[in-house]
Amino acid sequence: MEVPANMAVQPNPARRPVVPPEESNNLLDSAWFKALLKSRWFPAILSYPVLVVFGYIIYALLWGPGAASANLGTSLTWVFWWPLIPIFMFTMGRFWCAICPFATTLDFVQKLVGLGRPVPPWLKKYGIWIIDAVFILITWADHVFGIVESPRGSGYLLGLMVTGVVVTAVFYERRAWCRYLCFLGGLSGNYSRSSMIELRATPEICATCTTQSCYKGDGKTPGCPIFEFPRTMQSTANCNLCANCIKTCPNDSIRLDARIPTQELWFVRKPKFEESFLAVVIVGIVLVQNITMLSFFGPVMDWLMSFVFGSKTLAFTVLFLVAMGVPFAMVAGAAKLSGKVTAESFVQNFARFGYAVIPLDLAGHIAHNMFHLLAEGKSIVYNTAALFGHQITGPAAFLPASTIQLVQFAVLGIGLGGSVFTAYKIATREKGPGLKAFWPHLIVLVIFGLVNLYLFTMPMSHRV
Amino acid sequence: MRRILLPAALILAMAAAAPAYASAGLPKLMSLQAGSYAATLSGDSPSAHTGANVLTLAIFDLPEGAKVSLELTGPAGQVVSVPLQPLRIVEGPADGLGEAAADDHGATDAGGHGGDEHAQPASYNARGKAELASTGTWTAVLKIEDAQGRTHEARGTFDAVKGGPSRFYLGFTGLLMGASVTYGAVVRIQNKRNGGAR
Repeated sequence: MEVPANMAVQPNPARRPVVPPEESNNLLDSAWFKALLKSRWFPAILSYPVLVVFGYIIYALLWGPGAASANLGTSLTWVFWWPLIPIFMFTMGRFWCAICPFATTLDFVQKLVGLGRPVPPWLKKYGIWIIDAVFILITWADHVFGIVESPRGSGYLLGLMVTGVVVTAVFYERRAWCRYLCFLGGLSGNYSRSSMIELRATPEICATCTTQSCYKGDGKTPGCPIFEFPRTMQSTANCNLCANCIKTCPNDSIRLDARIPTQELWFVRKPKFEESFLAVVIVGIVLVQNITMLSFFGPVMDWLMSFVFGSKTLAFTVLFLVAMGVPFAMVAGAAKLSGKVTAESFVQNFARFGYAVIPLDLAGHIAHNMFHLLAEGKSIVYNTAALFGHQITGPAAFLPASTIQLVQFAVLGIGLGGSVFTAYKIATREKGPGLKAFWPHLIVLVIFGLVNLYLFTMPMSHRV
Repeated sequence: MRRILLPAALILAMAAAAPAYASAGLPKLMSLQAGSYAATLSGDSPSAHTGANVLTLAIFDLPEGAKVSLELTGPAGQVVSVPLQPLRIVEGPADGLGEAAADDHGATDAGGHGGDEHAQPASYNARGKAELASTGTWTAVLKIEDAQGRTHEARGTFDAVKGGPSRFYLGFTGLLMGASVTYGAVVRIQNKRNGGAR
């Protein structure tokens, strides 16, 4: 995988085109920031402390208090980390993946006993489908077994993920887990397409490069852990901003540009059905998360239970399948109508326009979890104090309900605007029917936005 | 059609067999009545368990100057004294103590946050950690000594179950990780001996 240390690295004579500083969006123009990313301590200076905290979280979840409100592992995971992660993804792309404790564990195990085998073709082909399936399964299991509400359940989930990480680290090269199996990686990849920054190589410089050390490594620093080749990379979905390519490029070709959020979604060159499917699945997941909190949920469950032998789990599963199926059916219907105008197949149109849902997904995720962070965030303080022997308790909310709700509506509004604009850009990108292809998707997006808006006016239950 | 129906049927069949689980905030272990003083004892888990348990004691209408102590007696007669520490409640009524917590959208959280029959907040709240060495029935003994020196006692029992994750889970994940790591190490050593690259 890595280039031997003695391999000659030929600097490329082509240099970066001179851009006036006021026109440059390249964050690497800042000398100190570039030095930070090039430092051998980056990202280790962040990832190892995160690994230590993660180790404690696993311990607390599995062996600590069984009540969510008394467990610091639960507070840190579901009230602190999970609400912050989509905000990270929006602002910093997939950077969390660079310091993720699973990835650090993977690197450690791989260094120790890794066999570095190539990733099998079936995993490359079906990895995203596995991620889709696991995501759906975990959401279902959360409601049936109470993963979020139960510290043990959360611990079991994280422990199973650690097991998966260790097994893939032993067998496969680089971070195969992160790229092809991790459901968080899949989620990060999707959300990161809406992010405010992008890492790209400069084509003029790379054109004559012979080293390809960004992919292969330079002997001191490994190549891209997520199997990306910055020279041809057109998406942020699989870049975790680990800065390996910034360190290894002998020609200073890598740029880290600030960009307009959602911009990447306007020009997806090779849209993939499975990626769009994941985006639509997330709409269903947000719907399920919220629908279980509505006042009519109980009576509907009771009614359903009378048809399925009184089993609550079976009744929920039926409801779950319907809630997951409805958004898919709606986008599929829009794709069918839009496809007739553009003379595309259903799959092609779905794949192209499915990406437009991502900003709304991201906004829905942030808005939903904003409640948990702002209405329950102080539980982190109380449980941390208890860890050091100080018994403190009190209301868990940082902000009053009305303020949180306003923040939620604002976030959702921005997300809906982003989705609608993305669909518009996708529709009008190429010459052709343009707006005619846009209308069906616009209607579906507005319905998704209004449903989400309505759900956020409903009472929500706490996590801790 | 069969390709869709079969997996759907399989999912539904699995779902039917899965137990529904609901967790609680601070689960109440028991209500106690020591003389005229009503109290509740809450644990940190749905049921008390072996290992460290954080117990929260709330007493209603406790007069000033009263002394409170809590002891646990185990199935084998072992006695564990719970070092109660007054609980500092910041900024008004606390989640998990006494009243059901109304969430910020106006709904009452039925998820447990300690909601119980006492409408008014407790006048005494304290927490302490107790190490329970064994499973079985434990007896909690609450003693309240009022300002006049009279002692009021209340007893209640609770069952302690085995704490921590299931052995099957630990065995399964441990075996999988251990076997993979061992395999990787053995192959790496063999490759090294054979002079091959990893």
